[in-house]
Amino acid sequence: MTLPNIVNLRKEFDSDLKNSNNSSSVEALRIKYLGRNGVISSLMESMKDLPNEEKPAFGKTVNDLKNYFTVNYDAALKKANSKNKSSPPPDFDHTLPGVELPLGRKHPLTIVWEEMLDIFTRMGFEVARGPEVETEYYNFSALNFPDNHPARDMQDTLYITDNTMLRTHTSPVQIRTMLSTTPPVRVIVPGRVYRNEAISARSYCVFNQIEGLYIDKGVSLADLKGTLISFAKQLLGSSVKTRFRASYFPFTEPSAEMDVSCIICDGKGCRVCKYTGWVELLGSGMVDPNVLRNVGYDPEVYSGFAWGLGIERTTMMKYGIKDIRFFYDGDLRILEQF
Amino acid sequence: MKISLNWLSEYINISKSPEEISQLLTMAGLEVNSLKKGNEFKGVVVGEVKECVKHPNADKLSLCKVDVGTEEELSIVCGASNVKAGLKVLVATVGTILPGNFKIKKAKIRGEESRGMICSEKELQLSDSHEGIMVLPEESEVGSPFSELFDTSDTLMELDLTPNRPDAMSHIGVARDLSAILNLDLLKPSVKLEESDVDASSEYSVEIEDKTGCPRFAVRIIKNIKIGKSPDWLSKRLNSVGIRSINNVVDASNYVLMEFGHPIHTFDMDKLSGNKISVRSSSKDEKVVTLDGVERKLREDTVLVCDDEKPVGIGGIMGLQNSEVTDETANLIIECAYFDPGKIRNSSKILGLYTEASKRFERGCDPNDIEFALDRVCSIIVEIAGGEVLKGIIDNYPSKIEKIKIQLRQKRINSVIGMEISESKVKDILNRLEFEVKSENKESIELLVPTFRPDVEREIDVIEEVARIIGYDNIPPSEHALIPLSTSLNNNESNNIKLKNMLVGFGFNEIYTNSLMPYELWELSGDNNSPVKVTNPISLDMECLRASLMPRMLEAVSYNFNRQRNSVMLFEDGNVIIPDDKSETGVKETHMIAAMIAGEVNPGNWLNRSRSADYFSLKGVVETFLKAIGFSTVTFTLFSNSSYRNAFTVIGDEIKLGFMGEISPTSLKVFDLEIAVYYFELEVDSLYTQMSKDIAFSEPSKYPSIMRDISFIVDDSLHSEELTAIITGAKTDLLKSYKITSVYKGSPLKDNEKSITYHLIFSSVERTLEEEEIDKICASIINVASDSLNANLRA
Ligand SMILES: [Zn+2]
Repeated sequence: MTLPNIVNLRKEFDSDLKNSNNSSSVEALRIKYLGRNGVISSLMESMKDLPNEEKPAFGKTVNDLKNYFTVNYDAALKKANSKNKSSPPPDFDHTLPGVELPLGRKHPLTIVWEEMLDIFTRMGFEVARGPEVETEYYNFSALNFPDNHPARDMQDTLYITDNTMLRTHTSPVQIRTMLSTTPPVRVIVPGRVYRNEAISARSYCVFNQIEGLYIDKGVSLADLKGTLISFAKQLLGSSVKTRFRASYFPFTEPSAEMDVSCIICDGKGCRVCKYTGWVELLGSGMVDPNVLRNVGYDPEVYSGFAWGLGIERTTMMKYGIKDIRFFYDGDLRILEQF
Repeated sequence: MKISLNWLSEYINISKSPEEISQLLTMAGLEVNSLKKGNEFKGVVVGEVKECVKHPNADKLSLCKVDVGTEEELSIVCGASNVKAGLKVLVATVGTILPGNFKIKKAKIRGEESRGMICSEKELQLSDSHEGIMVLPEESEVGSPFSELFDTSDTLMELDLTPNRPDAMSHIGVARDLSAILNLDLLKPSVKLEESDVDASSEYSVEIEDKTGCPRFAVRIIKNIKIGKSPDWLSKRLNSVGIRSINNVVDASNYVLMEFGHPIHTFDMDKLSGNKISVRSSSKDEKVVTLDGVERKLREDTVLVCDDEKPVGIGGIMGLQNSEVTDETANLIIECAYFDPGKIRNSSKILGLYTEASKRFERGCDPNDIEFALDRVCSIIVEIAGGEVLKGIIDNYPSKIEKIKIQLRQKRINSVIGMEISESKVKDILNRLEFEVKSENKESIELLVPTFRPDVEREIDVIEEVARIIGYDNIPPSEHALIPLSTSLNNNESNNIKLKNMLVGFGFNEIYTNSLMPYELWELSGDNNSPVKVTNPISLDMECLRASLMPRMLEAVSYNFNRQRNSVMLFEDGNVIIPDDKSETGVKETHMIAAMIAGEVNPGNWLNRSRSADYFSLKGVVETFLKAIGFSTVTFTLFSNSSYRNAFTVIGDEIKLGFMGEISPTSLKVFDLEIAVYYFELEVDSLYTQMSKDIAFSEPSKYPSIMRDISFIVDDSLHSEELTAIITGAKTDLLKSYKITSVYKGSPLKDNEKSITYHLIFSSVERTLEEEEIDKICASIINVASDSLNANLRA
């Protein structure tokens, strides 16, 4: 082998390279020059017949040639591959829609309930549930509703018999829970409740409440505030403002309504908050000593607080829904938005 | 409760804006629902209807000539049915602007000129009544402006009172709370009453038979009064809180009611026979005619106020017509009593009669303020109607209702509220609220509770008073509200979330439905005996409690189909309720999760055609769902249920979990549905039990598995489960799983034949399997199938 021979090989490679513009011709190029029986291999093979003193120079020349081939081949391969990717077959219409998988949605009331469950779970509350049909004792008497008292009118009741009724609130579960455990008690209670109210945009005879109860030694009104303010901020955002107003519930004393700043207008005043900037979120209070006594807890030792809120109303507030009936129609056009 | 701010300012000197006052009251538990500022209504004047004839072109309209004190009478078209000649009315003249920026203009109504409008109470924001136009007393002076009749500088507050606060049902009561909140003096009116020398008790006596219904009954007598129009200050006050002026005597008692909160009733003394008033219980079916002209049949146990011959009033609720004060009345018996709250509430409920008096008595009036109330009303009557008050109160009060004593511990206040409140602050508050400190020592004070606060009975009630007046917003929230207590989330609740997540993943949308339904819907629940019913339903449409989640879900499916949906997959989670004599509540409640498939299960797209739901779509959901929960075998046994075309009991690992099936055509017809609908309903508690079991983990095999496909030709009528039983019954532990991959009928098979193809997977965790041993197992399966089911291998 002589050097001019090598120069010719380069020229031949260059001209082959020029014609290698797709992946198969690039592969042919590799086989011809860099393959197992290719040009470089046969040059290396022929080296063994050379006299020893010529070998180093020849070796270097072949090596340079191999590098030249390799560098150019790699570039040609890259070019061929990239060309391949940018030109799919002309009949491939990637703009057609993908195959949709069916996926359902949870009901907005479930979404909000699960959110509340999550918040209270992190605060160490457990869940208790109870029956929807209740006795007069659990629904009223044990909760310190005096017989024949206007307080019973605050909740229009649907009766099953003289003595049983559809629960008007989830509070009977407070009694059931306290009767079956010893303090400390820390539970939340979700569930359906019923009122004898005509169905309208603002009220429905069936709705869902969530109720909370916390009993321990030394629990104060300040603890009630701390817990519920934290809840409101986690649920509605840390910028929400809260206020507590004195109120009345037979089973708590003192009683308070908790308002939050209207999230629609940010407290500036709008139709939703009746231009007050505030919306009622929940009712709460310190558990009345009579209630504690009714379940055999000593009110001198134990104290605690309870609260309750309507999940529908909170959900309406959170999403700006104006008609409560939306929740019960099963209308997919609504449900699929959540 | 309506409170006029001008009136309120007679009892307390406040220099705060109406908004600030309403905020303070709201925060202290007397919620102010609305604030209405006075409006002068410039242009509204008193008019007299001189002439009133039918509109020539409209049946319901009248054509009036109204004198408003100007030279010319105005012709006005009026639509109210109560308009007639001779009435004194309020006229909004041309140019007046009424609420809602409604400007009165000269107009032609059906061809007739109209120059102004005769107003209703609602249009002038005096009340919500728009039953026709407002009629003024005859004496009203034609032409006088609205502002002369009504207090236009006033602000009206509407309070939403909770039922525990009867004491706040008056102006003085509201002022008392404000005096405590702002630490200002309460200015109670002082009463100076001049009495004649004649002893009232020499003329009359009071006897109480029903001492529980009426613990106290007292009267005063005034003679020689003259009934007439009330002075302006009085009618304005009453108008400002929505009460119409009637005459000076009735107005005076209404005034004291709104000022002080204790109902007062006046009798025309000359209409009573004898000289004794007695208070007794009604007997059954006794009939009376109340002041509103309605004849009412009483039950037993209603408190009646009677003269010698007849009842003259329903105690605490309403007087009777037979003793009403009229223009001719000259002598008055003025009653102020205390009635038992429970009794008043019962009677008023039974009679369906709720009055200003009954609302206060049923919540509890003060039995011990009667002297003051009587003196106050008498002094006003004498001032505006003349007459002389006989000496003394005829008072029957057999056993005095004493003030309750309460021990209040300073330490307890601080621990309940969670904040230090000084003893002097506590005393200030209680003093303003008219609690009396009887004695005190280092730790506690002994308090006497005023009898106008029936809601305060215990120490905790007093603590609430302190907290409420201080303001809940002024109590610092605790930062360590939660004592760490290790509790784990109730497993059932997280399992409930998992169940719902799965169904959502399958494509079901969650719904909530009304659990009350009409009997016709309840009947679709299946073969139940009888519904649990509400005895006082809102309507018959909401009489029965759901015994299944199916009827309302079917209704929701139809709702969506009627709105052009052709693929509806729904689920709901909730209790079903059936009668159960053995339970405490007489019912059994079972927590169910249910789902429904209707229409297309795989909505079509450009690649695949759509597929309609069928039995196997439903079965596939149930099987996948239950296996994901952890049941290893799921089986279905046919049973009959009239609401379903085919119903199956669903059994998971030998436990009955619920049922599934195709809704029957008759059930579908209720909602005019013309598609097949599939449904399952499973008991959630059984699912929870399975979900709480530990997962038995096993390592996958390191060795390759061997697969075989076997096609059997069997009789058309053979159920695949028989063939499957042979495969799963094969004596080997190498068969890891199987699957039916095709069922075929048609050529070249005979008409009564079908082929079923199984895909079998064999593997071992210990070794690589030999082809030959698998062939042997397959051969034995084929033999058994051939022997017992006459199944042949398909070539
Ligand atoms: Zn707002």
